[in-house]
Amino acid sequence: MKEFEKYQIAMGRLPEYITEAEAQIERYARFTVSRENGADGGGAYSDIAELFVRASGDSGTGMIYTQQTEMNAMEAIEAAYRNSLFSVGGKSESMNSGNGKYEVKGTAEEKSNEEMRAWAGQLEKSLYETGYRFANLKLELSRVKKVLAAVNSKGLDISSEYLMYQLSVQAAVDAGAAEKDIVSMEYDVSAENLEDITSEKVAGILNKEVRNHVPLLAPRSGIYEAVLDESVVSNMLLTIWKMFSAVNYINGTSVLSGKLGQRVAEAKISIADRVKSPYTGYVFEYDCQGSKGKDVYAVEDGIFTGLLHNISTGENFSCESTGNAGRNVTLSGTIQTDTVVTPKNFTLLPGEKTTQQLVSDIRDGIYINHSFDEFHGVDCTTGDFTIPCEGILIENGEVQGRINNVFMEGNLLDIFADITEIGSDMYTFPIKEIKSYTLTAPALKLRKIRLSM
Amino acid sequence: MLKKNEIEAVLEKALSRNGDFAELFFERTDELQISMDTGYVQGVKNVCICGAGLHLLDGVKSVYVYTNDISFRGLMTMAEKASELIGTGRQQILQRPKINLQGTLENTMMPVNVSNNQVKTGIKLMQEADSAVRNGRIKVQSMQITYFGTVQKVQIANSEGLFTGEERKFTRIRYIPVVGDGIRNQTRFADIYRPCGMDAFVTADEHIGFGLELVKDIDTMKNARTIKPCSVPVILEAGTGATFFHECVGHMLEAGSIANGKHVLYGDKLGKSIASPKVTLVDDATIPGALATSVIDDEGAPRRRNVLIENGILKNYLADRLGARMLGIEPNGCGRRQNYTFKPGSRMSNTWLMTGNDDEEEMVRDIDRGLYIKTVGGGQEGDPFSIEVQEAFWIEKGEITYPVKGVMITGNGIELMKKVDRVGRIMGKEDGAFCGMDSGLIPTTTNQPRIRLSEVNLG
Repeated sequence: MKEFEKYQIAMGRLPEYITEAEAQIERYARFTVSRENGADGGGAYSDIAELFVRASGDSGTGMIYTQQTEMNAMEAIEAAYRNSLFSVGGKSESMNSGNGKYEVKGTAEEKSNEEMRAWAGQLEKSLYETGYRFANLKLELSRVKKVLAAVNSKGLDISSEYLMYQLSVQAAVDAGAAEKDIVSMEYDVSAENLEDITSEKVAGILNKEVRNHVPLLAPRSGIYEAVLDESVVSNMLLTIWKMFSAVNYINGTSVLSGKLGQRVAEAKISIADRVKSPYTGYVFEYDCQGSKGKDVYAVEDGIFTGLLHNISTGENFSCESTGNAGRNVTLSGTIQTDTVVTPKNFTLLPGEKTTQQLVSDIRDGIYINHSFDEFHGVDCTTGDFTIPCEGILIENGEVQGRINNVFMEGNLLDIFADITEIGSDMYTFPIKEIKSYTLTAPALKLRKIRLSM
Repeated sequence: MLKKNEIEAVLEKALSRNGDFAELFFERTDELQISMDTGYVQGVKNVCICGAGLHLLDGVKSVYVYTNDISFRGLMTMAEKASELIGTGRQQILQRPKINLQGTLENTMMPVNVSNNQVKTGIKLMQEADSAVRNGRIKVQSMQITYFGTVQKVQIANSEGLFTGEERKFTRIRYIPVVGDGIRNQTRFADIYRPCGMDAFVTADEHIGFGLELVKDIDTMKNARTIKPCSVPVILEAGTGATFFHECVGHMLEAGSIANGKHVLYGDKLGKSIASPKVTLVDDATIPGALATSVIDDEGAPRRRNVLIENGILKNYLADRLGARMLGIEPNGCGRRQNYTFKPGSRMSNTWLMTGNDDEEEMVRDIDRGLYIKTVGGGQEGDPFSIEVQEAFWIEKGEITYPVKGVMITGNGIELMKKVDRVGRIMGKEDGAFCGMDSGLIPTTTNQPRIRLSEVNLG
């Protein structure tokens, strides 16, 4: 990146009182075309560069963040150093060492704006050809280019660039014989190549929503054999991943603290955090500390085998960072500058049966197909959860109807131990506010789950 | 900073192919962040957010583009991109009337310098809070505190000639204590906000009391019991309890989400009864000293007091410019966004339930078995909506007894709002919180007097 060259030069000219310095630039360029109910729906375009500069002296480490990338490099480093002088009793943040320049570039083909428009139109046409009566259909197709580069006084000089495509769909279809019996859905998907963004998955989810739109029953409580839909499980991952963060593990706010190496789940369960995923277009070659991303098996065949580390938590465990240093973890309303631990492509690995097959195998039980607000309903310190949800009641192998305004309750460790089968259909949770990692899961069949009104 | 004639040229360029309205939103936000971990100052950081967004409308078709290259050349490039997106299919360059911006503004893109004394004062405030909390009677394993001192300067120019701006100041301290004996720990975060500089904390010790109260609340809940599923009366304490109205009805009245079919529950209920006659809900961005108060919204429109529900009757929606066009109503000063990287949307500000005439003590005394909710956390809007209960106590024979955990409230907004059978006389105050939607995370407040719901299903 052109605006970064001045930092590469400045790192070799640091004054003596600055013991270490690092500059990192992240650039996002996004182009979006929109289709709305059969017509051109406008679109969006953006191109943003963000600069993070750290500098350490005898007192500690200071930092500045700016979007004014034209700022003089040495002035930016000096400003960060001046902030370090306020540190009291702390220690300097660790920085990565490097051995020369290293560049990574994705292989995806960059499609033109016209090709994007044509693809969005084709996706929309395919969805209309499903035969559903759409009350509303909105598609946003985006091309996202992300460039990350970091250089420091210890020889780190890396850059990675990748491209991906994202599709966001909002749809409402008239599903029943009754007038205005509307079923709504929202779905997001991402892929490295535009050709992998297809209408089939969207149509599949639409079919499922319509199929599950059965008559409403009165809510009820009880303990049921259950299938949790893949969307429900991926939503729960929004909190579950924190149980595998080394930060939470160390400060005792993970229910798994102290259990590394122990069995924490049924042997069928494996959870991985990957640099690349077959289910998303996100690639995490480097994290925000310039550490190379590594595939981590957090749970392997039910055994708790790995934690997600940044440099400082790795130092606690005498191991290297797993490339999980991130900044965007809580909803803060500002630019987050504290380096914490965040996942990459965090995935509960699939089994063999489709969700439909898992549900068909239930004789008496419940298929939880929607859940709400897991962000507030799960306590990763204790594992306790109370999640508002909606489900399909099954008796004698027959669908009885839909129940809503109920809660599923219990403890995550009990859920892990009660899993009898794992589905093969995968769902990636669409995180609107936090765009820096992904959470993907299959459906789970459980011996029991407690439902309450 | 661009000259006025350059801004006019950018707007004209944006409208050169198509569209009937163009708006430029400039922002410069400077923020001081200080992090402290269990008494140690971990880092002092300066944050600078600086850029511009261009919103282009053609009827209800919308294009939003943004960049942090705010040079004339950078913004003309952005205008060209917007023009291409809105003008799809049109070959002919239209002749547009010349735009004349009214008035003059100072250069809003100048940096806000942070002095050493300000940093030292911020650190002193944090040390005071940290020391009081960790030397208190409750065992605290660790305590992270982050100080945010923010100055946001916005400037808005549009093709109707509007040229306006505002400077907004916020101070926030975030606390994340880990409370417990090291084996069984509890944690949660909480923020104290003030819509002004750090003086608010220098002249009063609220930051200390807030930290102590948070730790006490977390500690209280460590002995909380679970309750069996039941259907009982529920008291929502004055203050944050109004998050109930924010989630169950507030978001559903946002014009944009009604128009695009996301929320349909209240779309045809204007003038109809949707709540108990005791409910009068107002979204008022003009309340002096409230966190979400400002002079203009993020589209440059004057902020207003909008009565949403009056004595149970739905009176109004929250409307930004695009949402208003889509619903066929007038915008009412509710266009908000987190920063220039977000397209404005219809959003709440200070959404307060007005006081009633019921006795606060009688509400509890009158309950045989029920739940008293002291603090709620975040929630999710919709039908059903849900709210996390952070601190609650069981009521037995008119007395507040033991703490209760694992409770959430969910349901249909209209059904639950019809069950409001008591509204107290004393307005409670809370500091505010972030509310997240498509136009980003924005500060809001949700105040109310103590209220009672006659019957709620509790999980």
